[in-house]
Amino acid sequence: MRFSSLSHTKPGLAPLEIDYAKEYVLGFPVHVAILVRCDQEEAVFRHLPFVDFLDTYGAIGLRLQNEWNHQEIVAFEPEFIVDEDAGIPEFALGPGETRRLLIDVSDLIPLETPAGDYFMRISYATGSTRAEHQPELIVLRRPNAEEQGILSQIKPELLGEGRWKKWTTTPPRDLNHFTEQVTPEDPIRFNRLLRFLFYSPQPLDQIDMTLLDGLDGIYYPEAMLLRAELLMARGDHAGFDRVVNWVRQSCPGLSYWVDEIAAGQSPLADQRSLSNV
Amino acid sequence: MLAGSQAPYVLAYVAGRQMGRSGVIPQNTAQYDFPGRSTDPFDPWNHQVAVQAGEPITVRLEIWDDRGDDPPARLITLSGQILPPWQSGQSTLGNGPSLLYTVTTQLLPGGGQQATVTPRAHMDSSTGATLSPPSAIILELTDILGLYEPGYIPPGLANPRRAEYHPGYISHDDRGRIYINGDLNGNWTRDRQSIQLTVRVRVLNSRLTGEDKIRWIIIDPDDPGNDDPEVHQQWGSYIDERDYPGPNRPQGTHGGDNEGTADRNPVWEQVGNFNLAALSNTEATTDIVSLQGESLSKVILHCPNVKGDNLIVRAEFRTSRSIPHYPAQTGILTMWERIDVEYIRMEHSFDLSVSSIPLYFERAYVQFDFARQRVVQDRPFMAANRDRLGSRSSSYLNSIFTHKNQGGWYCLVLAMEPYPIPPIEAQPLYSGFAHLHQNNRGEEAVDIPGRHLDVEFVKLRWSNHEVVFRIDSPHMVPGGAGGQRTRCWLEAHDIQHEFVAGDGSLSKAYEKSILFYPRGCIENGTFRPGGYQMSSPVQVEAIGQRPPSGISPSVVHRGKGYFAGRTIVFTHHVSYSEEDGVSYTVQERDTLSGIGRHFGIPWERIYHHPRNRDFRRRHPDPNLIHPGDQLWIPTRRPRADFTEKVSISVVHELVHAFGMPHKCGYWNYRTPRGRNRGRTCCMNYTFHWMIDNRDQLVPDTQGMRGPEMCGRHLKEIRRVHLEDNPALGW
Repeated sequence: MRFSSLSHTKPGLAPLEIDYAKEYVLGFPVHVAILVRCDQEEAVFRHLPFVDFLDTYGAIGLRLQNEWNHQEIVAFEPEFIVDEDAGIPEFALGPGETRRLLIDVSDLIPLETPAGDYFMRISYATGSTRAEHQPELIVLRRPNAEEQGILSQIKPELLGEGRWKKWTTTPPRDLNHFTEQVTPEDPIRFNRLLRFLFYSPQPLDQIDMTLLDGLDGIYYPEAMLLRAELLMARGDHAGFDRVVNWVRQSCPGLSYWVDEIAAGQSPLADQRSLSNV
Repeated sequence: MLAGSQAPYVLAYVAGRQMGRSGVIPQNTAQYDFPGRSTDPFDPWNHQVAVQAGEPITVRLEIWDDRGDDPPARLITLSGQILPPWQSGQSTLGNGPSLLYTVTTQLLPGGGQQATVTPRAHMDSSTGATLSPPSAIILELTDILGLYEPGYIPPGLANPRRAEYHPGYISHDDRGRIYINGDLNGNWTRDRQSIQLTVRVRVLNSRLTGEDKIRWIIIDPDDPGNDDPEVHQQWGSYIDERDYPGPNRPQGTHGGDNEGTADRNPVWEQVGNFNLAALSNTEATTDIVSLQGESLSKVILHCPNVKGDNLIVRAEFRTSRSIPHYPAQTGILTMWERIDVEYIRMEHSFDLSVSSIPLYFERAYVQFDFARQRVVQDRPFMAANRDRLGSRSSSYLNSIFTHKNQGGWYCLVLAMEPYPIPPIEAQPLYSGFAHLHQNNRGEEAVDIPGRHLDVEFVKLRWSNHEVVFRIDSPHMVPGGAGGQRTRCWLEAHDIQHEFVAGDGSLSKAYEKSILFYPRGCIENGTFRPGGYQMSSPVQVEAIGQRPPSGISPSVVHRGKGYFAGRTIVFTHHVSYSEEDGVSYTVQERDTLSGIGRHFGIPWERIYHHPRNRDFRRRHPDPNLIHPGDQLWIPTRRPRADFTEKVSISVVHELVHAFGMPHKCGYWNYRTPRGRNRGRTCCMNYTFHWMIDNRDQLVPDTQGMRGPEMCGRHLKEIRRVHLEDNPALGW
């Protein structure tokens, strides 16, 4: 049997590009956006693991190395098994496409991790599609008094594994008095707003869009898409088109989300419909 | 009579209960002695039957021939009755081939009353006498809490489970079930499996003393899971290796084969003031206490935690006095896992009778109890698109599964369609010959001319064979007609032939695989040639998108995926249903979405259906329709084999829920490896071949999937401890 290794190379993923905050607060979500793309222009990936801000489905690895003594305090490899029966979310990446995936890796960071400066390296997928990026320096700091207060306030709802996912996807007890205001300093502003958008008794077309103004920095592209969903719910097609243009030009990795909304398949409305099953 | 037989063996039944399976009867044997130990009361060939006065005892003996890979054949059947008064001594059953057996009758004394008798005497004499029965102690097992009788329906219980607690039932029929992870009241309880036995002490013409005790003894009888002639001996040795001293060498039933451990040590637990002295893990004594005019003794026994493990408990009277005493013992008590299934159907999904599903799991000692079906609102598509299917299915189940994370509960949902799918092209994307390519790892690709990046499957045909591969990452390469070709990397057929019970994680289930490609396979990272033995070029048919017919969304815990006991089956899938339709005249106040809701179809599917082309032309705005308009409603109807096919899928998904992998490469428990015959284990896919004893593929075995499992899946399901699966949250 002869192998021809040079001309028969399977397509793979290009090294990840990441969008991250310089500083994270221990005990809170650690959101990082990764950008996935193929290392060949004319290729399709049929079964890439879908990960999002609610669940990484085991497809994300994380390494944290102390900047000072180079001690590795987190070494977590992705473990993703393609199993069509197991309902593990996948997506297809078409030729030339990119995909931006905002993820929360806080579940991979032990709660007892000491504050400090760390080199972070995120890896995605396994086997021939595994990809990672160059280590980036981040700061993990302890929560201040105000942040500690937030944690104490929601502590009863923050239990066990996947705690931020559970918190975000669990309706608050009193829906009638459910309102949310966020500030750029709030470390759970993204989860807080998502939860509000999922469970607010107000119809989507009546939700105050200025709420999204608090989502800046790393959250800005996703906030634009949430804005697009609200615009579509209001029937504001011109406003929606403006967002679409921005996404296509500035953040094409989120085009899939735009396409879903345009096809009447708003993920937000879909998620809301589940609470009415 | 046995001339020409290959490996004859005996099955014997007394009073309808199977006694066991013998070893192989040697050739030219004139007389075969069952290899029991006649002095041992627990010898599998020594059978104790309680009969009422006047009742005959049926005896049946069957001699079967184990013909290796061919189905076993029944050579001889002898049947007869032992008639009352069941005289002790040797008897023979049958002429020609015959069974010589020994009956030992033990007449238990009746009640403790004295009887008045009249002696024979002259007519003119007047006399009388009193006959006193001898002193004796008789034990009777009166109840076993935590034991469940299959088929028993308690009075007034509207929705009984497949086995229920029946006061006084002591498994006289050997079918009694004890649930692992069950408390004495049948509630799911983590790491607990126990029964409480009560024995009544009947004292005839005597008194009990403070030194008298009940001695409890546990016997571990043979695991009968492999005794059925339908179980091929290759699987028989896997199910109970103690019955097989070597490959394909059955030696008959052998006890002492339990695998599980109890949740405590010692296994005995005291009940109230029935003082306990545990002598060992197979023996204990308890006090006899007088309660409401009865002399009783009770004890709690903690049982092994592996399904299919079995035991008999014997109660004996222990005394230093010389008084006749008669022991009591249970029938065979077997460990089972009970799973309740929350059964949900969307209003317009097709209904499925699930009555046959539990039967496929009974060989694995799993009792599935489907709750009464709950009908819920339609959701014509589970997800907006394929990318969202996994997460949406998971969210949907989280919202609808009311017993989620409740011990002992799974969930089955009959839904409609996974996501909107463009009509499947009648013509394949490509059909013709194409070359195979291999990279330096042994992975293979097929090149098809032209640009076909939407290819999802390829059907490969060669030398009258055919298999289907999913496509992993198609990409364009130069060359061929039009200057470009689509290189389709094939997803290997992964065969998990050495799987073992695990913690429910996908990584454990798929820990070890052989990856089969057209011309080779990879095992433990090492390539070896072979595979499907295809030659290049090969005839190729490239096919587009095919949605999944069912999904069992896994759950991630600490970065690992776990099977989670929740299954959705899409009854409108093309495998299960075909297009049908009706004409509909639009009524006053109708809307397209309202019509769609009525028929359980998305309005878009009605509006865009080719038969509504004229309607579309007349109504470019779907919001404006008029009474009297004619519409074609494209409904679906179940295919003729709907029930069979969906049932197989349901069994397949429920087997996953025990942490079991698919694609084992085996046939069902009736069939050995390596023979193209019968039906395959339900965990296989329709498009791959089975494997033989040398891990080579057996040709043309695709599409032969049945609803039953292979012996390995049956055995490993028995070994799984579902409470260890964190995704279940039990």
